[in-house]
Amino acid sequence: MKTGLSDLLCVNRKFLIYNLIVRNLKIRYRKSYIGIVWTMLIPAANAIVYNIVFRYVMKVDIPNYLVLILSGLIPWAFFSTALTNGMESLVGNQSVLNKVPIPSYSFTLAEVLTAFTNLILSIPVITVVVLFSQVDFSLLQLFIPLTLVILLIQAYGIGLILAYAFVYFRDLRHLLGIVIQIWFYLTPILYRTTMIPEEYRFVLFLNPVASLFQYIHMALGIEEFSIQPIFASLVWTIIIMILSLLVLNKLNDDVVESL
Amino acid sequence: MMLPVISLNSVSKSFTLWSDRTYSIKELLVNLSRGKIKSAHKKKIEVLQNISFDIYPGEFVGIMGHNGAGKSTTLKIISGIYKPTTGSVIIGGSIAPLLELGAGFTDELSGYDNIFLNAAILGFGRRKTSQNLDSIIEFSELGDRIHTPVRNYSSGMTIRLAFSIAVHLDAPILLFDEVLAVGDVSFQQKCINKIMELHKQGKTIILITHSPEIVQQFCDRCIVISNKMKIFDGNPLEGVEIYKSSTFKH
Repeated sequence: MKTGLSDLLCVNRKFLIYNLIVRNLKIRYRKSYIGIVWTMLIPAANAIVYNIVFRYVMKVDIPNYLVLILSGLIPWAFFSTALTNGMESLVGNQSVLNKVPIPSYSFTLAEVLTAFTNLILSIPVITVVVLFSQVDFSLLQLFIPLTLVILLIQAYGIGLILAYAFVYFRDLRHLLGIVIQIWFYLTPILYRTTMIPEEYRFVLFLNPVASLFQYIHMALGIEEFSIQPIFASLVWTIIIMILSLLVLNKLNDDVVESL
Repeated sequence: MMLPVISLNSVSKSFTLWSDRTYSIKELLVNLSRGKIKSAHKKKIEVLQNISFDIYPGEFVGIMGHNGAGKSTTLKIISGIYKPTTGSVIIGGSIAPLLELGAGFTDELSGYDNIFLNAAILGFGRRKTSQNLDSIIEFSELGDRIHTPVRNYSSGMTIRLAFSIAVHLDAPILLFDEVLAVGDVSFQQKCINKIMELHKQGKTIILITHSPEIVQQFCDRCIVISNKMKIFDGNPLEGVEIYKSSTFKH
């Protein structure tokens, strides 16, 4: 039986997905009532360090620089966590997948949604930061949640491909760490796209998530609005979903036996 | 004429084994650079050969066979974890696949939380789980300990909880894989009583076991699998004899 786009949402397995997310959150924040603060603390600390290094040492001149990097670092923290944990989702649950007939991708979805829950919980914090900064209100800001949902869809698609690949290539874990680090610097988080020399700017379109972070910059008034990034992110989302469905349908029967 | 709830039609299953399968990207790159693209030593091993049987609603079937004969693979094919290589499987009704009790149990969570998690993994929804919550906790004999982490349970307590969840979820077909080999004698007896109660309610039960007593006393029918094939299907008393002789021959 073919797995389709609607299957990936696990609609008839809502109770399972919910319980897996609750499990993930409870394990991660066990005995730590300020758990969510810890998740926030890493991007916040990074933002302060980058702010000092780039603003005062390297003399980058962007208004509201701290707000800019913080509003990029928090979605990035979600994205990298979703990919890392998503990749481990099948191998990490092999004892269940070997004993219970269960769609393998439900574990990947649960991991990605767990990371997304953390992102949602940090939205109020960042909203407060934006309100107290000198960023002007713009209608574009109302669509930032939509941007984050697109990022979620992309993270799920890429996470699925990684999860399946990890079953066959166990050294992917080391490689992904390096890739995520390089990917971070190739994404407009610490800089705005206009700082890239014009002839190299096309590279951004090769990066599925670049235009989503570019949109956040546009919404915060750090960059001029343009329509291309929106098209680019939609095209990339479609490509990623098609690729992940192809991988899923090719390997679905084999993957449990290979675990 | 009653329709079978489970119907296996000349099912065979083989696994592919690669003697030089690459398990890392590093090896893959090395092989690619040497011009070796396809794995050379591919070997198929057959684990089930041409197995057919029909199981009707309300039957209590014991599956026997020596280790490695293919019993667990048969159960995995029935539950849908594995797809048959050839042949077909038809299932009419939802299955509680209890190939391992307590699948997905998480040590850090309380027994109470694990009830919901385990039920969800077994494919049940919120309503069915909540409806049966009280009877699950009562049967498990855990009392107040249900709210403490499973990490602090003895193995007997864990198994009691897992079995309790499994049998209270009201699935019409239940598959058990050697679950009665665990727990102390009194709890084993309680498990058997519970399985018999479910059987009386008209549920279909398939049980893998090595115990001739259980098959002779409780099962309606016995299937013996030996060396990848079904060698007997019928009366439990005869089945046990055939199982014993097939074990000794092996």
